[in-house]
Amino acid sequence: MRWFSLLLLPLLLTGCVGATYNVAESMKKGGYRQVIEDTRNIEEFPERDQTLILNWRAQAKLGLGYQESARNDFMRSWNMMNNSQGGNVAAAYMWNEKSKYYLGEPYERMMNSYYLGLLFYMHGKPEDAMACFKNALYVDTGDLEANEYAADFVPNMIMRSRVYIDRRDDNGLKTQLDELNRLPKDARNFDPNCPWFTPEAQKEANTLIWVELGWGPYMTAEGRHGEIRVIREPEYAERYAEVFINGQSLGKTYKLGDTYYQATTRGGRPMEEYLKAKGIAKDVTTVAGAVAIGVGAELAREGHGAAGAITAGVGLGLLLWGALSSAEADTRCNVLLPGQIHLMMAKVPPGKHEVEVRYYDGSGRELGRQRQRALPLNVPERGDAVMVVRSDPHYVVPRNEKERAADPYAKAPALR
Amino acid sequence: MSKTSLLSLLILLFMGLSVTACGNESTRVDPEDDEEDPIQSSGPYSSDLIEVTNKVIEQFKKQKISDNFRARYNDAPIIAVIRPQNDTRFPEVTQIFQENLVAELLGRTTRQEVRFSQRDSDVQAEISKEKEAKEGGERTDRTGRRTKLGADYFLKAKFSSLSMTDGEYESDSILYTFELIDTETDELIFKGKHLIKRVSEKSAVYR
Repeated sequence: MRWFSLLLLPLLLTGCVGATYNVAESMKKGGYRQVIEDTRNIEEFPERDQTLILNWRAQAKLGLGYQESARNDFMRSWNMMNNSQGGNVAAAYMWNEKSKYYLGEPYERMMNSYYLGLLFYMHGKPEDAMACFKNALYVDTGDLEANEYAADFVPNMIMRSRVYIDRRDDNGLKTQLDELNRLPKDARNFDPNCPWFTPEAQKEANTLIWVELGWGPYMTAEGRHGEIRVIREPEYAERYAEVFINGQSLGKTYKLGDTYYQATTRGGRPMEEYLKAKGIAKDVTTVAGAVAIGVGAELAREGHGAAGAITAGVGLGLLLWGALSSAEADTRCNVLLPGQIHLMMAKVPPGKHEVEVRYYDGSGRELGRQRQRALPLNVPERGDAVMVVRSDPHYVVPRNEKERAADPYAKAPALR
Repeated sequence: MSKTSLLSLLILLFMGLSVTACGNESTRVDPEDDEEDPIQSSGPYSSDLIEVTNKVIEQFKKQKISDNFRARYNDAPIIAVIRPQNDTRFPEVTQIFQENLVAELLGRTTRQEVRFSQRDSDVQAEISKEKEAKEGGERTDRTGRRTKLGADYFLKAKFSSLSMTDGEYESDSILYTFELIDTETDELIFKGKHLIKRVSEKSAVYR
């Protein structure tokens, strides 16, 4: 019975690490709708994965135009990502890193805050939006005194500029754009030729169309024990877009954000060194465990029964720990994020308009299958019209308030 | 201990663990006592907002805004509570603060002492539509032409924060400021502040 308890203990400590929800598989099977359906009852998933699943569900809802419901999910996960202290930390050290509660990498927490802010802004809550954009800057900034990374996600800075304009705060607007213009002109991060980084250009425009391309990074566990976590960039053909309003071209979009760049330009994680050490320890404990069992058996043969049993017990413990613990890196991440974020800004007369977005690959060839037509744009008399659209022909932009606030689980969905 | 009783003990233990894991209890707590809140955040708590609201009302009464105005104009002053400005990193603070402040001000004063102008944009849009309908004869107009209230004072709040982290702890100093502005002269009638600093522990191994 003691042996049985010994075997049960690691399982309890690991929190029964099992397969989590496979969002990539669901996307392949039925797209955003499948993800929304599969994740209807968040409580059915292990607590350690719920924050990640909420972010996936929020992205899926956003993709089908359920913006209010998406905002609620982003808000719920925002609270967990920013107020929670996590959980299963000891199990992550001892057994498997994946058993710890997912709280997101800095770039994922930043993107969560950015989307939440964007949705607050789009729905007439600019002050809540500002708080989210400030938090996005905060989680994307390291210890500046130690010369660590500073926030450099341009879409967030542009949206902060829009709130300053809404507040009629010219000083705030200027300070924000000065900060943006001080960023290193690195084309991997954003297109430095973008003409909208001045207060005049920002004040002139009343319409922002955020065009999202491709897919964000994913992670793989590599090395002998899978202890090295590698951030990978998925392949996608689209490189830029062209936006038309009422049939007239406004021109090419400018790249302002790159999720892979954001994911790979932060400092290394504290967990990485530990995982390397754990990988080495796994080998050492297996050998040491086998040796100790051997020595224990020899001691028992020579008449030192108690000492032999203790040594063999320690050896068995080491062997079990070596066999049951995993040095594999945690590869959970928000794979539903876009790869790149582009912007088209313009001054458009108030009223209803139709938007068309065409996508192009690196050689300038249009990716016809991805073209989106008749996207509804409603420009208000005062303030901004903000649209988010993605290089996915199934992406839905809500036509009105009713569609925006629709329940994704209603029996007869109002959306297309 | 027999095998059966040992097995029963294990099953009971497992069931106990399952119940603990699945239990979703909610407890009603006092909004003025943040010590009762199990969530350890360095952001604003409801008790902070209640404290700031109390300070605003305290200032308003201490400065005898209503008495002075009525002595001068023989009428209650009209106040418009302006959208608070949120420069913290915590969303969802502005609306709850504004709603609580207006409700408390209305609850703790009479209409003879002070009147309030509702400036929420959605209400303003509805009022404009209603007035248009009245003017066009589509709706009854009980008292002849009346116009919307012009505010004598703006009551404005701002939340600013200084946020820091060393990866293990997060510290947020949140400064709540509020001011009453004369809309005719832009005179600052009063300005108050309330500073709250909180530190919370973060999970050191989250990444």
